[in-house]
Amino acid sequence: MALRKSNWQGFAAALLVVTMLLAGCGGTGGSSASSGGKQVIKLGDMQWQTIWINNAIAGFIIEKGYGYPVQTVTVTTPIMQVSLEKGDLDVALEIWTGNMMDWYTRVTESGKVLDLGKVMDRTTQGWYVPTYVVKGDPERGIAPMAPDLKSVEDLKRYPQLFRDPEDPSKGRLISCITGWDCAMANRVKLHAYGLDDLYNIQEPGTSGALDAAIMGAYQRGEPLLTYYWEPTWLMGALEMTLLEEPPYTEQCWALVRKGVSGEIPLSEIPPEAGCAYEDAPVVIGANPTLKERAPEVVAFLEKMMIPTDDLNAVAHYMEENDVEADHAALWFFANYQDLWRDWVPEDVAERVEEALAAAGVQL
Amino acid sequence: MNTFPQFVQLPLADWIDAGIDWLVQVGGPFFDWMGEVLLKPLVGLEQFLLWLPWWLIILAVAAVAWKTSGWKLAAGAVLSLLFIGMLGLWTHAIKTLTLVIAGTVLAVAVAIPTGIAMARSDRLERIIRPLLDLMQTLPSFVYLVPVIILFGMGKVPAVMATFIYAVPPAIRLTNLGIRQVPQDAIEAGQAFGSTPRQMLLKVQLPLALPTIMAGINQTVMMALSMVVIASMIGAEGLGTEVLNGIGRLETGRSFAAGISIVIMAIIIDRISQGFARSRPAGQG
Repeated sequence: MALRKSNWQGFAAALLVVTMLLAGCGGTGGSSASSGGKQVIKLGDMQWQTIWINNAIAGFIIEKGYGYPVQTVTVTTPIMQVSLEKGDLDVALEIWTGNMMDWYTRVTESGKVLDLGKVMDRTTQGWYVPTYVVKGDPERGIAPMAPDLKSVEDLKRYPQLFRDPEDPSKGRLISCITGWDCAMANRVKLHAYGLDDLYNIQEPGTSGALDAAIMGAYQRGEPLLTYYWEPTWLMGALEMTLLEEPPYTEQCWALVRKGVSGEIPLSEIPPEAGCAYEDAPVVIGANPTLKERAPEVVAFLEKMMIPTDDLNAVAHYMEENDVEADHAALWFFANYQDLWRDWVPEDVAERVEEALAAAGVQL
Repeated sequence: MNTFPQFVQLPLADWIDAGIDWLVQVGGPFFDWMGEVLLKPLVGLEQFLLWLPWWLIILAVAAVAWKTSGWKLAAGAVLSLLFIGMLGLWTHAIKTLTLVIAGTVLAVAVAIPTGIAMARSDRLERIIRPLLDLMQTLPSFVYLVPVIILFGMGKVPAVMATFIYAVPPAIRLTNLGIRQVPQDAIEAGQAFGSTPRQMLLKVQLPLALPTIMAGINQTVMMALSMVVIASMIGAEGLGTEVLNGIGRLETGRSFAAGISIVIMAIIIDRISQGFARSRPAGQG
């Protein structure tokens, strides 16, 4: 009796495993679905607000205007880099070249990834403090804590204001994400400005933690010194003041790059390496196979560019009205017609208009 | 037909957001104070461990390993710790060790009384069990983002995250160990007229000790597995090296840091198992 029962259970288990294997093998054949012969175009979603907006806008045009099904794939930045090169991703709409110079140079020079031009016109990176630190905020009952704080030079006088709770003898600069180029660049600049004895650096490992830390301090009305960048929803939502730095020059940035790569050790960084971040372009990257199978989409992406101020406006709309990126994209199409019509030929524009009308958008 | 009806919508997300906002507004000074209270011993411990010369730490670990598990483990521990040093990761490892020690001590301090209380009361067990499930499976960042908003980044949220993730095995196994103490041992204790306190200290805890030690051992393992998340929220250590390696596509760097974490885990595991074996149940 016992033998037959265990035989039956063994058979059932084997049947289950075989079924799963067959389902697994059979499933992948159908998943690269095409509609009318047009294969899916995969956009990378590196999980920040502006890329959601860009993906929504580009995705709408590619799908409704050019007729290719679009799929956004959630990835972290390193995964995006690997996938774009391999072809598992077709397009990454925001490659912040300043943060991945080595990778970007390598893949574009070898032709493994196509640089389709800028997606926004200007970005700002730097060290920010909440505006209430400098000007106070009468509504919230916050008195100005550092009224003469204007540039990074002035930081020399305020390490105690931005005190590091884990090392109260020094101040604290919250730096950018571990692994991004700016993390090392901030260390180099701290040395160049002569602030390394006065300030510690705290590196968050993820932008979620960085945003939460900034939000928390801002809501509590506490002083905070942090690296950040624009365009971002956070900079749109909070009142932050950018500290002035000596203007960017190529010679200065060459020194910073040497510090980042380790050619010049941190202790030997000269004051001449202290200058503002270069406005490194944010570009659209595509895998070369996309040019073969959808050259018209690549032509569109080469033209797509949203000026930063307009992108900020869309981000602001998204926050104010608490809507998703898809909805914000429709608002963009309605309000920036001169802009997007330049990117596409007449017939594509007509199809996009039809789709917008179907979605209830008045043009 | 297969989509959930839209008219039944629970705005739970909005309620939670409102709750967190309220907490920040109302509790600001309290959380600042609590953060300071938690931070001081952490910073003190780390500075102490960093101040100790490296060879002293290695000798101390070797001595403990020898005492609990024999010379083979001691030799292995010395070699692997030297290996970590030769990778240039010694300071990182010590910072990680601080976090693991703090998280584990906190976890054990909470787990043993909680486990004992759970063992005594079925009702309490029913209430606490789903809480333990939550602590082990809720993605860390779900509660970490509010924690960072309230406490800022740094060692405090890191120890909290480590504690929340690592304490459930200790609680569960303390509860289990005590409940599994053989009935005849309990009856023997009662026959000799033990008070509940004596029963606990002299009968139940000693007999449950192997299971409790298994729980603590698991707690330490899970504390080490939180190391990368701890680094994401501002606690330096081996996790920072892993993140740097991932962020810059330097796989070797992540691997070296990862191997160091594994080495620490194995050493602590063997030492704590040796410690459990050297205290056989039934004594005292």
